[in-house]
Amino acid sequence: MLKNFVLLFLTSMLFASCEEVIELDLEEGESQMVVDAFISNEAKIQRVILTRSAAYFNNSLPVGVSGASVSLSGSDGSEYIFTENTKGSYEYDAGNLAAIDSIGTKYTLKINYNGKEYRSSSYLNPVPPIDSIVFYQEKNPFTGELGYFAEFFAKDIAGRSDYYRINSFKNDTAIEAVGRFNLAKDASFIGDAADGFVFILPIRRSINFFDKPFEIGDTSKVELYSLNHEAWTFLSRVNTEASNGGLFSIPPANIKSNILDAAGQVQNEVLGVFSMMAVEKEAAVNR
Amino acid sequence: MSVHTIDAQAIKKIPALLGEADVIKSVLMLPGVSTVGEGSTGFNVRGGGIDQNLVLMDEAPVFNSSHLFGFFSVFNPDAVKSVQLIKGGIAPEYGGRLSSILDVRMKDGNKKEFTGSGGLGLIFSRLSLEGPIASENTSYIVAGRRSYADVLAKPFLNEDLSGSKFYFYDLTAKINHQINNKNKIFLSGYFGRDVFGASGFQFDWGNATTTLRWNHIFNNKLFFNLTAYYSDYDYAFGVSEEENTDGFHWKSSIVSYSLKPEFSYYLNNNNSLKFGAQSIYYNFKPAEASFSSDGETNSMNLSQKFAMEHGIYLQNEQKIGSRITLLYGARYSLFQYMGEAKKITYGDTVPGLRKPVLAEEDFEQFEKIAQYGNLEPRLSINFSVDEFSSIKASYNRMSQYLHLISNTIASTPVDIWLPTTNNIQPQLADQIALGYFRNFYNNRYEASAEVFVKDFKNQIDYIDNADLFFNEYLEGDLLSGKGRAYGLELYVKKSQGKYTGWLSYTLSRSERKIEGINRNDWFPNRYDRLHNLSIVNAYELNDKWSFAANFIFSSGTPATFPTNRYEVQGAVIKHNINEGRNNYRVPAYHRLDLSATLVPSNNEGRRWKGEWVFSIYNVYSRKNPFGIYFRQNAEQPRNTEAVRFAVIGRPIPAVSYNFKF
Repeated sequence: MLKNFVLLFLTSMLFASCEEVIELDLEEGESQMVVDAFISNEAKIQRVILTRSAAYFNNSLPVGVSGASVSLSGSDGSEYIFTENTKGSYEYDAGNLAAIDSIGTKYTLKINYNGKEYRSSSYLNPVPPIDSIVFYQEKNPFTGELGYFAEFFAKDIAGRSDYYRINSFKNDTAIEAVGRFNLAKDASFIGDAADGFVFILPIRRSINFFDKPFEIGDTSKVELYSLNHEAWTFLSRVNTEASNGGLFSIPPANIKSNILDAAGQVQNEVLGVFSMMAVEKEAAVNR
Repeated sequence: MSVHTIDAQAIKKIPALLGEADVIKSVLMLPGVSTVGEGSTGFNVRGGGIDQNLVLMDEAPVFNSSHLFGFFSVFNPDAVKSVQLIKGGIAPEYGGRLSSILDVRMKDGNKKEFTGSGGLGLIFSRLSLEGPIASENTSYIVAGRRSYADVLAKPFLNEDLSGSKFYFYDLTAKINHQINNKNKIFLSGYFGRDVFGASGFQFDWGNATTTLRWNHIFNNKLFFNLTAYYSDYDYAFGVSEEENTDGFHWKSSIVSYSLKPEFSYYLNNNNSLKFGAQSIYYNFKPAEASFSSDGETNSMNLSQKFAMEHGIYLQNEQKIGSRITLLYGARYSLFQYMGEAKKITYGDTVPGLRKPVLAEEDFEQFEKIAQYGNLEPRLSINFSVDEFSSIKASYNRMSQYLHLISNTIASTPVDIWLPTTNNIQPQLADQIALGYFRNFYNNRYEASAEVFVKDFKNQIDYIDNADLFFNEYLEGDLLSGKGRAYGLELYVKKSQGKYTGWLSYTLSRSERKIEGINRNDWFPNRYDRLHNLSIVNAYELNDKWSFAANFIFSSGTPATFPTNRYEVQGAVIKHNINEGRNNYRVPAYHRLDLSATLVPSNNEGRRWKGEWVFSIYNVYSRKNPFGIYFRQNAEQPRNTEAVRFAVIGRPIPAVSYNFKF
């Protein structure tokens, strides 16, 4: 009887807070062009996506921007032209043509639209190899049963500030939720102390669905990408805003773009981000 | 004027969350005082931020006056003698914060006999013991509280959550000794901690203060007192795996020592002077952290900061004729930011962007890096219109040298306190208040109406996406600007008879203008609430039963809403085309609490007296919105939705038992 009362009281306290989806009328602002340009050193089609921003509650697919001219040039003299395929999607086939893969080169993206030019630069930063992916057994925190979880090992490149993005998969399903990014700065999340270390444990083990462990025969795939500082900052802000709510929310803020105007100055007409990425991949099967 | 005194009895009459009487919850019902909602650790007075209140426990400052994220305060009502909130017309003897002084004095301890009191509640229990030591000249009081929600929950949680902890405890103690008829001394201390964690991580924080005070009577005109205090506020969090090969620990603290001599001199029947000084030495440790990965450990610390704050004051309380009383004087405050530290200089940039670091210079220990002085004139005038009514007016200038760096809506325990430096200017505020006070029906009712206007300088704000955590160069992310607040406060109180209570209503506005935010236009503060109404009622039916009810209504707080959205890499990102801040309002807050107290008749004639308190918080189940935020729908990520978040969304009943012996 006492147990029931205490349990009832505690659950009423613990679940006393609540969230409710509500209807709201928001002011709508003018539509702006958005650049989604993450170009890798892989030998496959590379895309720069140009779309328009919309009203906040407009849930339809973003409208592509047609008729722009998009090109990339490297400080080593290389030039790559991106041609529009479907509306808003500008492509360069690095599978059939030369891959964009000179590590340490500075690449500049130029976009011309409606008589205006925009540009952005990014170095193609190095990425360390993934040493291994192992499976360890642990009690599933949700079901209490034993399960297999994956862990990858890689060591951050010492002597420089590195910014990484990790994409991981269980068989062919992406672990990272849409709109959330698994990021690292050197071997950790923040600060300068993690340079040259093995990636810290929470990052090494971030490649799992914690409520659905790996079965025998499942494959874990990890892709490690190097980013530039602005793109890492951009995606970190997206992560922060995605979970920005509740008691400790901070004032929401616009995310700054690294797309500059023709003179190389900060502008606020075009949104979005550009980064060059070098990729290392690894996969392992749980035996 | 602008002063409210609450005694221990009144605090116990107001039903608070879970039936526990609470000092800060009582203060929140006064005019001019509000919060951003349940879960916030501080309170706002007359349009000022939560760091602008000087909260004192027997004269030692308390940096975080709440437990359990703001649900309870650090003050144990059993050990409190009196609480005074000064919102305006602040006398020269006080300084260091802009908006208010919350002066909490602890009980001296029963000089005649040993007694105790306490209570058993659903979230925490308390016990306090007091009595004389050896003779009537010495007395003590010791009061403690410990919460045990986690202990009660342990057997019901599954194995992995069973390592979770969520508790607080505090201990308040005081020894009072009358040395002879000219000398009295007391030693008072407080120690409290909050711990919040689950398997693998833990948050803990707390204040510790000690005050030693000596009162000396030279003659019937000249009195002297000397206070010395030590205060340590620290907060820590850590994450670790069992084998300890991987982990992260972080701790921050502020330690301060102070000496404060004061003389009171009764010049004649019409003039009484007070003059004194205060020196405080601060040692800020913004972060000491250590970090391990795969067995390798590294430690990293943000540099410590040292500072001294001095004040010297002189005031006179003068009676002119039979109607006019004046309190006037000034305080001169001086702040020195010292080494051993690095002096960092930043360059200019477009307001709203991170400032670049220009230079770093090393300074030796106690070498002065920056110094600021401010003269703070203070004046209060009281004019008695007749026996029952008076008009009061006041002006004060306050300066503040310590700043709470926090950009979250509710302050978290990991918010940082920083001193004024070569980059952060002292905050200043000027306040003018005017009021009319009247007693009715032979002092059964007191009523007042007050208006105030405040002007703030050097208010701190942050660039968008400021990096405030573990950042040696965080000053480059700070912005500075001005603020203003103005309002009308109405108050009616009935303090005698079977039915007692009070009503406070405040109509006010609090805004700021910061270059680099909201396109350099005025915008409301996060805690700006236009209307604020509190009604407190207590009714003693008979010797057995008494009832209490409170009703609170406040206008919604501001929030920042987006205008547009765009997509990058599958994420739907919100955008505000006007770069606005606090451009919308969350819906209003209102709630009703009820409580009933039963004093059993078998209390008569016996030493042990008990009473039962039954209470319900948020009786009509209002889901008071703390904030509204925006997110992508979990199942359909392309769909965006607005979510209204309430900290407490249902009624919370509670029973507690209080006793005295």
